[in-house]
Amino acid sequence: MENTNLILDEDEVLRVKDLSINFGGLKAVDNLSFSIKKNQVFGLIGPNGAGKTTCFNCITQFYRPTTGSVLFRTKNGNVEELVGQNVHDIIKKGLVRTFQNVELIPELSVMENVLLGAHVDFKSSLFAQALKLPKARKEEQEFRERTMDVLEFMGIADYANSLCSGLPYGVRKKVEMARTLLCDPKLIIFDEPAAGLNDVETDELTLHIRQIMEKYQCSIFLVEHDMGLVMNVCDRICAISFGKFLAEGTPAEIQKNKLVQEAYLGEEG
Amino acid sequence: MENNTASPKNILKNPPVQIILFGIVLCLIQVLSMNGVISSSFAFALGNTLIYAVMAIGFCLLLGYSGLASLGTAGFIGIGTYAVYYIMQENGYPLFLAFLVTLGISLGLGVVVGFISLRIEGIYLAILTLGLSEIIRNVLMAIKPTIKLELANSRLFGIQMNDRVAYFLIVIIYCLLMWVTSNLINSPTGRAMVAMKNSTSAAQAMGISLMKFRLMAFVIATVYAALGGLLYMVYVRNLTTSSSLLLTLTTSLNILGAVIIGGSKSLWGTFVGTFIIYGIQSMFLSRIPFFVKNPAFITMVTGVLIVVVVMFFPGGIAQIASNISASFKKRKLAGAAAAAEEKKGEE
Repeated sequence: MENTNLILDEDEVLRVKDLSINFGGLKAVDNLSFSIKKNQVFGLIGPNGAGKTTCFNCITQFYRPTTGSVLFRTKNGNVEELVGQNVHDIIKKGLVRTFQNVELIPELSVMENVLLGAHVDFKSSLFAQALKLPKARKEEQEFRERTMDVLEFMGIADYANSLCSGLPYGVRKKVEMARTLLCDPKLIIFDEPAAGLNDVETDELTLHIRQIMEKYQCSIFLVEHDMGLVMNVCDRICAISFGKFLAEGTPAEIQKNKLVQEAYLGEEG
Repeated sequence: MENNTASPKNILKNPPVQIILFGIVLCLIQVLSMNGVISSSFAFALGNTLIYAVMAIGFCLLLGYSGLASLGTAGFIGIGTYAVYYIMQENGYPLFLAFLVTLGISLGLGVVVGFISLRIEGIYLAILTLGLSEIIRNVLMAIKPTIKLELANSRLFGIQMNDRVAYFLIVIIYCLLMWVTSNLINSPTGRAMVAMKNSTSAAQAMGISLMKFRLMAFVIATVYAALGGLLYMVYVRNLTTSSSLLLTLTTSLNILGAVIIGGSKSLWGTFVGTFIIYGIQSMFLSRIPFFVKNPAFITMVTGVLIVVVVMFFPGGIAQIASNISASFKKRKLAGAAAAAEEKKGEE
């Protein structure tokens, strides 16, 4: 790993540089570069199969990118290269994600699912947990209280003790979002937060995303197909197609961009 | 709900209280058999069942909570039995030292075996651990095919461990492990295990290292199995490895069966499952003259029970129990609703 180029601008949280990944002969992400600033809602858009989720997976190290670098300003202010790190270490840096098809644990309650988001912050040893020493008990109690605050913030406190398997889709999406809030995140990645939601729920989501950013003082990076939501909520948008960079700019700029229009609607004439 | 523990009903819902009560009942059975109220062979069979229940708790954590299927239980039981033999019989050291040595060896072996085998999942893991278990069994058999612990050499803190005393030791260890395991299940560790069983990607995204928690579950199951072996040797005091089924695949499969029948995510269910597989035949069926004449039918009855449970209650005995309590609650709620309706009518 190179340590020479670990520099981010003062207001940058994440910088993706020349990111590429090949699956066999297919270039799913091709030389992609962009950067996300502090307290910014950043959108990644593109037609189906453009490589948006693959890009997320490369950033969070679920996939190993073929080339490129992902610089991230961690919780304690250091700049780190994420490429090559363990998947389960990413959340410790302050980068946390949701999944396109809602990865909750059906056998656990809503409360316990959200508590998983604080997993890396539990400090008591296995021994203390096994014997239920006061330290472990106190820690668990504290995190349960914090979880309850998060659940109230997301408006799902009533479901705290129900199992996740039987919940409506909209609630499950909120639970998954709540799970990202316990770890003191600096950047939250939402993979299609509006997919499967009705119009009312989508409006509520728009509000929630801005609220999360303000309350937790973090940046948000999202992939979304619902253009209404993207245009409403994002400060900046990056558009890609077939893994390649198309354009980056404010929502208004992206709407006017010829290349983006062609990618979505097909070339004219 | 730890806030309102005042009412007696809530105290009974407290796991440590339940476990202690259960332990007292188990001890009472032995006391009654000492006084001749219950036959001593019945109490002996119960102690034997409890030994398998100890192993099953570990397996419950491994299969039910972590989603890992191992068929290596038997080999690790062997470690415990042989540790007892070499420490206590050959060298005359007390049980306490055998206990420490068993703990140490099984921890070390669990880490090594786990580190090798946990890179693969599902049925392949089962086959690999089965192979390793057979290796352990054959090595032990080559070292000494028959081991026997003489009563004179079996002491703990100066007390001679005849099978009545050993029974109480088994109950204590069983209750202790039940308590520790139920704590773990409700701790961040338990949550991490269930998370990794259900969704490896969500678990990893939340910072759960799959290898770490798989290894942890595997090592815990290994230690419990080895402790089971230790208790077996102290209780039964002899083992002919070449002819006994204890260290063979049969035991591993029986424990797997016990955990599934009980409901793989229930510690109490695990006991019931063990009881069905080991307890019913040795404590009840073997007393009925018909089964004494035709021992093959005993296995058949257990087999039928397993088929019935798996077919109609895939969640195991624990599911039956929760179904019953749910229907009671429903009836209660319906009753309360009817009473409220009536009240409204009167007004």
